[in-house]
Amino acid sequence: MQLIVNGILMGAIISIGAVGLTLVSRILHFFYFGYAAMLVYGAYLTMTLFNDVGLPLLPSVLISLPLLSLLAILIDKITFKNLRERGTGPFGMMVVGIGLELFLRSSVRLLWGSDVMRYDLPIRRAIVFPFNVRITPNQLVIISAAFALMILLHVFLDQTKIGKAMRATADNIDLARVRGIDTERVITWTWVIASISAGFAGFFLALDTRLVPIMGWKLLLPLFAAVILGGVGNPYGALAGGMIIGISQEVSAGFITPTYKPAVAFVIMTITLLIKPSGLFGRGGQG
Amino acid sequence: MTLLSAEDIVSGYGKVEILHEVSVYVDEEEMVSIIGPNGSGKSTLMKTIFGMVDVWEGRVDFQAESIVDIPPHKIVRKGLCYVPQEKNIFPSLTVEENLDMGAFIRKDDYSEELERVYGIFPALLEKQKQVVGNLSGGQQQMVAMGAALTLDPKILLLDEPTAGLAPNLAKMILDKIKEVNETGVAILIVEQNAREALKLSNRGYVLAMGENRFTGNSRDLLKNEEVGKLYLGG
Repeated sequence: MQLIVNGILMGAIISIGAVGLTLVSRILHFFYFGYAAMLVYGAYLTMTLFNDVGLPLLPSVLISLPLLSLLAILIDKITFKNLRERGTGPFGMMVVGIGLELFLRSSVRLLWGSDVMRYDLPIRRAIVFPFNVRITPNQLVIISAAFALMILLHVFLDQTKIGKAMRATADNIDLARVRGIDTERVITWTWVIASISAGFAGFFLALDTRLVPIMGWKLLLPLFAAVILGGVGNPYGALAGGMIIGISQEVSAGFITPTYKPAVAFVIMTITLLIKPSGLFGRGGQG
Repeated sequence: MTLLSAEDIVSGYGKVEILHEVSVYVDEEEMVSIIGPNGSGKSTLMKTIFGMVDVWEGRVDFQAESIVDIPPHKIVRKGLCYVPQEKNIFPSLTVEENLDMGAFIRKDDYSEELERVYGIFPALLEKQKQVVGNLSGGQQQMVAMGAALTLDPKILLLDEPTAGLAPNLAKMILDKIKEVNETGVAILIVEQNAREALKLSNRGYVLAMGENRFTGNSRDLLKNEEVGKLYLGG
């Protein structure tokens, strides 16, 4: 039971992070490794605002998100926008993404140091539920906030015009252009959503564990696994994929050494690619 | 009155010239077919008119106004819509959302156009909330055309709307296109089912090797022995 609850917690974090990654991957047509650094930046910016500036926790998170969005959009305008205009292929983009990841991760070490850090929060005792399931109040907050975020994301993508345009662009960017959708604006919005997604995932992960510059990189594999499992570009698939990866990783710890947790994500990802490359919630007909 | 005219178009991809001085025109409310063997430049002509392929020489006029060098998303606003042969829908969006995206640039009310689309394609009404990627090929074509119709265009450019469809389905789609045409929308259509398309059209063009080969009203083209033997399968 405890393992399943841990799995839901991990799944919630992965799901939230995977939504942004899946949209970025699809709309920009490559797997963005720098996404890991966005998670880390989200977590560290929140820490600075909370620990050092002394803001309450929720405003710290909410202020870190626009900062993170600005950073992401700036990076896009400097690097990827130029590459898009020159018609650089996905391979070139991906290499630039890896470079950005290394650069940004190092900048975290430069700005905040390499030491393990944590949010200055009092340590609170876990609440014991039936079946001897232990959940800390923080974890309860993470799970409920993650589900609330999923609902908000759904409303945004399903009901707003820009949300629909974003899914349309993810589906078929050429047709979106023909239909008069300003795809550069959609890309900017995609970075905003990706920042919110990465910012929260980074914050949740740091809240549940601690802050280290490598934390985003370690979460990247399960994130990619969730994205592929759910079908690249499908935000709902990413949410479901994140849950499946999270739960299977944690539950596997009951049978095999926890060190192999990341391998579980890798195995699921490989099996998906072999059996159904379009993902569990594939994209039907075209695309 | 002439609605759309392309005169002496020369265009191609990279350095390869595909069209060598091709001319076509469409009058208001007219249905015109372009037929010809594979590789004759039919699709390239459509893309050139719609601004997706650069015009090297010649001119394209829509409502007596040049549309050369105007990007597709602006041409759409003038009332000229293009339905590509492939990837002409958003597969993970529902029928309703696909139609909304068709009308993306409209800020006014387009419920009348939606009603017309569902009137012509009643099959879509039942599938409104379904994801288009899961629909049949014929229904996907209906969505693609319906999305273009939400802009209330003066002319529709259709690039092989029946590609990959079973014969009876292809016939049904072509009849639907005629129905759209009868509501006053001019149609310029590239079609593999040449005979069927010509029967429904007012006029036709036969392209071969990137040049105008035959031009005339459909009845004459259908009767022309050479056209029949070479391009209509005997």
